[in-house]
Amino acid sequence: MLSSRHKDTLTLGLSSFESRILRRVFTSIIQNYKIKPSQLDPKVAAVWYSTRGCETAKMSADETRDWLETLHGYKSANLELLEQWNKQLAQGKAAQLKVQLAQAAQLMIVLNDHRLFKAARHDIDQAQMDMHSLADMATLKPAQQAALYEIHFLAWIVEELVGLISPDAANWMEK
Amino acid sequence: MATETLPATIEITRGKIEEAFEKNWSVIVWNDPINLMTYVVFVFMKVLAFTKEKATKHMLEVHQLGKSVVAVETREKAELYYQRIQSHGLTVTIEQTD
Repeated sequence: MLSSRHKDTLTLGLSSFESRILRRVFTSIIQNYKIKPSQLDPKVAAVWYSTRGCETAKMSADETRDWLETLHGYKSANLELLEQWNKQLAQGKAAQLKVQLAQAAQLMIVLNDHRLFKAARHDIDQAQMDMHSLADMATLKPAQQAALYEIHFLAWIVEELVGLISPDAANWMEK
Repeated sequence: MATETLPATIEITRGKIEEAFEKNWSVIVWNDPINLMTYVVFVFMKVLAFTKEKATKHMLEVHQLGKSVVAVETREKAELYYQRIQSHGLTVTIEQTD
């Protein structure tokens, strides 16, 4: 992947393999954003729609329901953009994904949501995230391995996007 | 009759107004293994308008200590931060402090 920024447009140049993965990711997010929090896989809902803060804030059942609807609304609001991005990659060949600067944060949020989704669905925790060798990863179930690769692939894109839109955040280690 | 109930009503209303303006709600961000350090700094800068230094300090607190109080606000503003931070995928709670 090659990423670049020209004025207010970001471009992610993707190989056909990367493009196929990203298209599959977008399709999955689109499907899951359409599902109501109460009907989502409970493991994923516990992350995407955690109500832990509602409990500590002592919200009533009605307030918590409103809260979840608002949160679901935030996610649903990205559906149109996701469809547009998915269309850009529709050919399945090497592709360029062009993203407007004003929408780059939304792209990061949805990619991050998919990372959280995969981790929750496949029980990826700190121990799996700390695996850096192929030998370690080979000890995981095939579905976990695939999820872990996807999580790291999307992390790469998120890091690239942060670098393009907020170099300060990307270089937080530098004083 | 009305003059007897009025002071109590005023007292309750004043209490509610004071409560609404009291900055005693902590917004707490919790560590998790998936969110990237860079992404967390980005979210703090974007949502909380932190400088890079302040965002980094709080991100490292989350990473090393397990949590960080990123704001102490009125309930209304704390709820707003809670919603916005959670919509970015971070684990966040709000709690009333003494």
